[in-house]
Amino acid sequence: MLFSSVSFIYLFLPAVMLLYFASPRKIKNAVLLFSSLAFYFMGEPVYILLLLFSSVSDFVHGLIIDKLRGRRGAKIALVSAIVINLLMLGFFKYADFFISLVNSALGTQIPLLNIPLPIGISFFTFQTMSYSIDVFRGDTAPSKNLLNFGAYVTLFPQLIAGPIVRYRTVAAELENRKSTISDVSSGMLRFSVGLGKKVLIANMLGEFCSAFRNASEPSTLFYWVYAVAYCLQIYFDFSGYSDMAIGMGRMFGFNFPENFNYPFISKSLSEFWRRWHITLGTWFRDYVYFPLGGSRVGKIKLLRNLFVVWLLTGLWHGAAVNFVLWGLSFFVLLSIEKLFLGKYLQKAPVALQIAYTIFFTLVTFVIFGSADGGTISGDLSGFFGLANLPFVSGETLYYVKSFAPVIIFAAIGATPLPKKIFSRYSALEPIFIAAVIILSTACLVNGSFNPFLYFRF
Amino acid sequence: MKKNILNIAVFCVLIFSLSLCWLSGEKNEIVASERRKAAPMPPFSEILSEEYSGKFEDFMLDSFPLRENFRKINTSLRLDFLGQKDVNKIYKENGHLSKIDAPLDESSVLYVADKINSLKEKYFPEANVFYSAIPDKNYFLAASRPRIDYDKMLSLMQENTNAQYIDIFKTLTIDDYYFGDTHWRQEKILNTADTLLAEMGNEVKNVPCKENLIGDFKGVYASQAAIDFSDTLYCLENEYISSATVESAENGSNLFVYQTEKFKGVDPYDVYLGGAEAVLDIKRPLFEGEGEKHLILFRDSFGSSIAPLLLKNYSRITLLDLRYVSSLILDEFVNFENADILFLYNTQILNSGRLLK
Repeated sequence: MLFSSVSFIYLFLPAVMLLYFASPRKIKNAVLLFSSLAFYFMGEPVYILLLLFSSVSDFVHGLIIDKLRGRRGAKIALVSAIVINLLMLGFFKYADFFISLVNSALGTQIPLLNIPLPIGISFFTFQTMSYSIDVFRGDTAPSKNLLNFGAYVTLFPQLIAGPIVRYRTVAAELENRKSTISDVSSGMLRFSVGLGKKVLIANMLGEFCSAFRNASEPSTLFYWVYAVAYCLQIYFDFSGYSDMAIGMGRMFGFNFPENFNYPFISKSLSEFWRRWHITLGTWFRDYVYFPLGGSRVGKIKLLRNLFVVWLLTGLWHGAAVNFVLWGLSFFVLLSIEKLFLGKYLQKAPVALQIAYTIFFTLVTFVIFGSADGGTISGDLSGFFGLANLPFVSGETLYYVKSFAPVIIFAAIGATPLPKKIFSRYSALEPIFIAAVIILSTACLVNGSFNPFLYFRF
Repeated sequence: MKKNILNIAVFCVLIFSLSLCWLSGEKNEIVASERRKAAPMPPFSEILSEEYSGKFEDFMLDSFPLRENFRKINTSLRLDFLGQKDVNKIYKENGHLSKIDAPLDESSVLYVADKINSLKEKYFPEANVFYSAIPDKNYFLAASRPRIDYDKMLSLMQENTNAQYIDIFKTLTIDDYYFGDTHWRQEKILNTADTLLAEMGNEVKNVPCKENLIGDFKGVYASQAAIDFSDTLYCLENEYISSATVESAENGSNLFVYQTEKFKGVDPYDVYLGGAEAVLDIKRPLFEGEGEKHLILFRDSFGSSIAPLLLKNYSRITLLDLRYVSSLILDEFVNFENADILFLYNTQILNSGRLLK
């Protein structure tokens, strides 16, 4: 079930809101747990067992780690927790990828397993791993309440598409939280913002990208505008979903971490990754990069650390070559930035810094997007004008003119400007909420299934 | 505080009221605006299936309260506010609505050509076989939009079809089509019908027709795009048409050429011969000095309105729609002896040739 679906907005969410707010405080977590399981069941009726297993496994491991703290057994329990999570992730997500690689490299014909990917597995395994690691490090006390812990792991607002919420962020709220009128109001506003970003902007940009992929008269201009539209589509799709998750969390009394912070105003790629998918970036920083030594090592080890993080980041996004190359392209660019370019970049005019960041972001996302019907070499050739295409075509002009207002609106919307303007007119919030819900519903009713792009993860 | 309460009130009123409307509202079986059946509620027994939530979503979308009003809002948002050039690929141009159909699918066109050739070889190798293409509205309207290469389409047909081509492009203008529908207007295609008859070797009779007003309707493009465009449907009468009866393999015999009770149905264009059917047989009595003459018309929905206009030269017209009957078993329904054969397809069908079985 998607957040941006009528069955979620008009059946599931109102039902859960009614149940939750009508329930006494003591059973609110149970309501969330069972609602979340029902939510996951609607999308993955069989894999709900996997979700339950993951929850119980890390809950038990957390208790064992705490009980054996200071002894070797605690470390064994931690490794066990991580291995179980990675085995789950590896088997369901990467088995066929590695089989394909082996077949390509060795000329073998090992049959693929064709296992359907459990929705959200990359998110909830990372979440539960972070819990076990944090318990081991002493950053959080282990949960002693399986129901509360289960509610945390399965919490439907962030279960399938993040933000990746660490247990320690919500531990206190799990035990004791309140939903004030202000919380519920701001949560509903945030949810509406996210819904509008996803349905009114991301989906429309997706129509342009789809037209590009089906073009009979490709052109260089079409590639350029596609790169911009695709990048914005991913941003609005993902940040919209995060907004909906954060908004719903707020309604239920949770304060989830922010996941996006206007990444397109970044002045370097390093800064971009501090503003884009923040919870994933900080996860890799805290659980991979820092344990490897971070930046406080020699150049060779720094390169090694960056390589590992960006290889894993690419792999996390998908079990396909283009995602690995996408991750490694950031490794190359960030290495150059950290080792050499960064100090010159800081002295450049701000406009140039932002242009540099946006340019390389576009290039990397062209690689990212080649999974959706293109090829890496074909898409990059087209983008750089090396594909022997005309600069413009009649079809290109038709679609660019048709979608120019949406693209321009999206580009402005990706900056802090709309929020600055809107914050002066906060009295209009109710009108904004009504407008977004009505317009989004209109678009949903007209269209059909509009899957969230990050569902492959 | 007041603003917060208003936020909550607005959010809850919208979400809960539409939710209650859906739960308590009637679930239609037909989506009239899109001329299709509504997605049914998936059976509970399939709840373990991964497709269940998708099917449920489709069911809910098709039965959503105020669905047509929301679709109109969507159209207005895209066309009027955002300046998009089309919605659901449907666009407005020169007072007409049309639907983008591009690019040219050469393999589909070649498939149709091959289909004609194989049918000729199998069923009527000695007959007079003709074919013609009906230009869709994009031919006249889509100059600045993605469109089929019509010249290429026609040259592919002519190079690969073992039958005589009849050019009716020159007989038509955009004014011969409905404003909000894909089809041509029967009252505007008399000249086109006469061209077909003449090219098939007939001495075309000059038979005046009376226009009977059936009513106003919303065409398929207007419905699909949720745009308020009105058209008027007429039926032409002459002594040949009024004396004819229609036999349908599915619906029985002694039906009228014009089935006006269907005007209020899902597709008003079904007035003409009752709409899309696999096999229809129109027969009329012979008039003085006439001999029997049989035309077999391989057609799509456009054929329904032009077939009656061909009755003045043919005492029997058999209509075959290969979208609904396999070309392998035609001889179970039709005797091809001593008949003229005409393949008459709209260019959008030629571009989706694999629809023909």
